[in-house]
Amino acid sequence: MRAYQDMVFTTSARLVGDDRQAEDIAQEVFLKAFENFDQLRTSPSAGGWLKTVARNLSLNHIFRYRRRWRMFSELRREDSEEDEPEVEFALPDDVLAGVDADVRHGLVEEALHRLPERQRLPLVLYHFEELSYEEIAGQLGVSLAKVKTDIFRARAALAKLLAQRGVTAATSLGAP
Amino acid sequence: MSADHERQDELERQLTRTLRDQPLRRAPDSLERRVLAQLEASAAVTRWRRGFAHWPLAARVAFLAASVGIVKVALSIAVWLSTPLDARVLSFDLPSQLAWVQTLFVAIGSVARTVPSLWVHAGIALFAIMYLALFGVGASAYRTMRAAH
Repeated sequence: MRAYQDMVFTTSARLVGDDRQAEDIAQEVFLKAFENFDQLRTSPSAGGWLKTVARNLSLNHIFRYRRRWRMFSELRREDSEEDEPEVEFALPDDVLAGVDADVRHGLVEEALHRLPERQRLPLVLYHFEELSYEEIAGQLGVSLAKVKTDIFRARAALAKLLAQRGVTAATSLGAP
Repeated sequence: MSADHERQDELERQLTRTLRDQPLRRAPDSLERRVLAQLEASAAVTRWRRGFAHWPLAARVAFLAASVGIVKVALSIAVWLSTPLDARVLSFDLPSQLAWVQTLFVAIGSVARTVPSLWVHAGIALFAIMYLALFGVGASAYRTMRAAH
């Protein structure tokens, strides 16, 4: 368990965007793993199995929570594409180049957490889970075009957040 | 390729590099303790209180057989109640100690058949309204608790 707990927790945390919920999901993943202990003990693909289960449970959790919240909320208008701000590319190159690695990693995680769910999910699935656009569309139940748009916007939003934070961090660390 | 596309590709390359370098986050120390505690708690739970999938095969088969039997009996009763009274139905023999069962079923059947359909529909409507009201109260409670959370 110790060999995989960071991977399982990280997978869940990046998807659900909440450490407490991610810990609950990670616990569930390992309980499932213990149910299949005999098969997993000698399997070379145990890590892959754990990662897939962590991803699926995280997505299930998100969809279940989202459905419940929608059902019990007033009929709020869905965030539409038109509400999205225009994407800007006024980004400095190597925005975090001068920042200490640990600080940079922390800033990236923080920026990921700050992304809205509709952007964070496809971005994480694409860059960390290494799913294709088609697979992401299937997992999220949305069109291929929406996946591409959301990832495109997520990258721009993330880069903007990193640029803002990077400048601050670089300044505070005395980097050029 | 347009300048926009080039910038998009460059952004993708930069972010791919940045995200690929991200190390795994450290799991909370409490995770392992929680998993082990949950495993111990599960082991302590008696077998019949565990999920159906954990029951012994014989118990699962028996449970399914009993369920099918109960459903069959329930359907038979429903069919019997919905058919008109028939002399043949009343003529089956039961031991004298169980005669009350026959009387009870005949009485229930007679009452069920004499209830006007309007009452039945009104009853169903009332049930639906009460169910929706309960659902609404639950939803309000959930929202209130969620807002307070």
